[in-house]
Amino acid sequence: MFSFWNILDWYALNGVLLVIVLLMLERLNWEFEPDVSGRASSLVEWVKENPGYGLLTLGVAIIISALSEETRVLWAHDVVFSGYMPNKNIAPWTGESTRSLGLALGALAGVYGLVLAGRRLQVSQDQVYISQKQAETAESNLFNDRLKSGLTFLDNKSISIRCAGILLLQQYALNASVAASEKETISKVLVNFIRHRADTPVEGKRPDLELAISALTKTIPLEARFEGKEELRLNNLDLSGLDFQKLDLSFFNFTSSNMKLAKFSLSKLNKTRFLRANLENALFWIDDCVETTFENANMAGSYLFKLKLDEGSSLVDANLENSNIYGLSILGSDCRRADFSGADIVVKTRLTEEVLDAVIFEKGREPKIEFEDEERAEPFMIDDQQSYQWIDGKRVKADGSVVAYALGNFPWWHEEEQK
Amino acid sequence: MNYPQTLAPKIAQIEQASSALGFVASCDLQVANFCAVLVAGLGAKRVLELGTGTGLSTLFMAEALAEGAQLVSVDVDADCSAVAAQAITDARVQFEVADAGGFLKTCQPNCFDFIFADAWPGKFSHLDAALNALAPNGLYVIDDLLPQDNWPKNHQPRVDALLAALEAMDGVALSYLDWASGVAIVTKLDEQPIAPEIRQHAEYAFLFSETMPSDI
Repeated sequence: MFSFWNILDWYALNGVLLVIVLLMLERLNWEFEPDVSGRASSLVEWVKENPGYGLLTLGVAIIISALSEETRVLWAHDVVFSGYMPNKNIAPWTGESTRSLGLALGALAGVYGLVLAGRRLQVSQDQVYISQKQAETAESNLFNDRLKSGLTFLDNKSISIRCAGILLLQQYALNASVAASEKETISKVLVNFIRHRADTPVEGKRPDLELAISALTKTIPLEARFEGKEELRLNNLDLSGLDFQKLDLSFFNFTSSNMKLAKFSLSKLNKTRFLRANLENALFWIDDCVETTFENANMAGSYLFKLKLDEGSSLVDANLENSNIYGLSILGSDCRRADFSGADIVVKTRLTEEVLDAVIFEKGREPKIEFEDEERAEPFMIDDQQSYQWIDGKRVKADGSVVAYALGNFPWWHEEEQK
Repeated sequence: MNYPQTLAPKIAQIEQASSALGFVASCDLQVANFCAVLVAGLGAKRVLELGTGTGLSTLFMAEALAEGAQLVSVDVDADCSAVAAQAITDARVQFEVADAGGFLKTCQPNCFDFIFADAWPGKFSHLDAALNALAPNGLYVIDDLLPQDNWPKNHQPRVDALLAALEAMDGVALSYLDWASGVAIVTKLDEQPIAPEIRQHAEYAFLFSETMPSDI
């Protein structure tokens, strides 16, 4: 049995060893930070960055500890300091500590191997990360360069350069690998360009404006369109005379825009809003119109050829005076108070009495209806009760009721048209 | 980027030589400028021009070439090519006196970033070879799609069919400019943009033929 002092002695020795190790670490630490609080964190960081040295220090501590354990008996019997070997039966050397030392060093080597492997993995991960970052930076630079040159080109006086700028932005946005946020930025740039150019008076054609709207339809895929999306709002703009043929303008909002003489052949106009738009003499030819809104639109003199307005479209309060309607299908659309004065409705038009009962016309300017419905024996007639007369600027029906003026709240373009 | 101004002396030289040669089908200057800006903006490394003519559009595109880029311009007419080669001495520009259709057939797939089609082949024949030579995300610009004095008879249906065929292809994005001489711009989205049903469509078949009509 060892006495309390023997045990204390052993712990004291190990305490001394621990202090030595700490001093070693402290010596290293001293290299980095003179500030004590900073040293601790620097030391931790350093060990993290140099785990081999940290483990070496730990290994030294283990070896010294094992040696001290191995010589514990000698320490315990004061042989070390006195040099006197007591004549007692002391415990034989069993080699247990040496085995422990071997195991500890083996474990240490294993840990060191793991650490090295981990570091190598970390290095390769870092390299992959750096490569990714470099690629991202290159892409980001490409985007910034393209955006910068696109913006410069869009601002140019030359129409050929503006058109090239639009196409360069479109070409970039059409790349499948381009991030959605970048596409959105390009869409916003295009919308701003459209707004700017639409406000710039130009005589003759405006192909750059048409190209920009075409590019916008391509850069915003259908699945990314929803009502109210800012990039789809082309309202209050002068878009007169533009050619929108074959464009997918679904979900676009042209509220109160002037689109006089615009062409919409083979376009997709599903859920497109033409609320209070000026579509005078516009051409619609075989367009898809599901839930399209023409409410309060001025469609006087427009050409509606083979339009399908069956599914929830609205012509409420629209002005269709002198319009030319051929092959229009409006079985399911809302035509309340749509003004068909002087309209020319010819063969193959599909509509119902309910639709015709809802429309109005100026007295003496009944719409000319020349069509036959295969399912009807008699031709359609519009009741004279639906006619109105202009009295003091109001449309007054035969029963004295006033039809709210279709364009009661004139948009900006009305004044322009009056000039 | 003011190419018409910086290139004015060369343009005059080419126009004079064209006049002496009796060549009247030069590219519209606005379209040439448009192509040059696209080439510069794209940073295109490999550019192909089908139909050099006397080199007006070649001159613009050569000016816009990036460092290390290359422009190959093909025309079957040696005299016209000679005028262009005399005016454009840029080492990056290579003139080929050959049939554009035959040249297209020798091209590797995806080998050009930008193609300017100003000849019959690549527009109204060999369309598949031209699109095959264009790299994905590359631009293909087709000129002279608005009525011209030098159009052959009954040409409009061919133009309509070309635009309809391109419109029907899912693997490309078509933009059309009703401006200058009429320009269509195709962005190639897929490596194989032409679906078999388009190739087999009776109205579009001539676009993929390897022969030119006898009246051209």
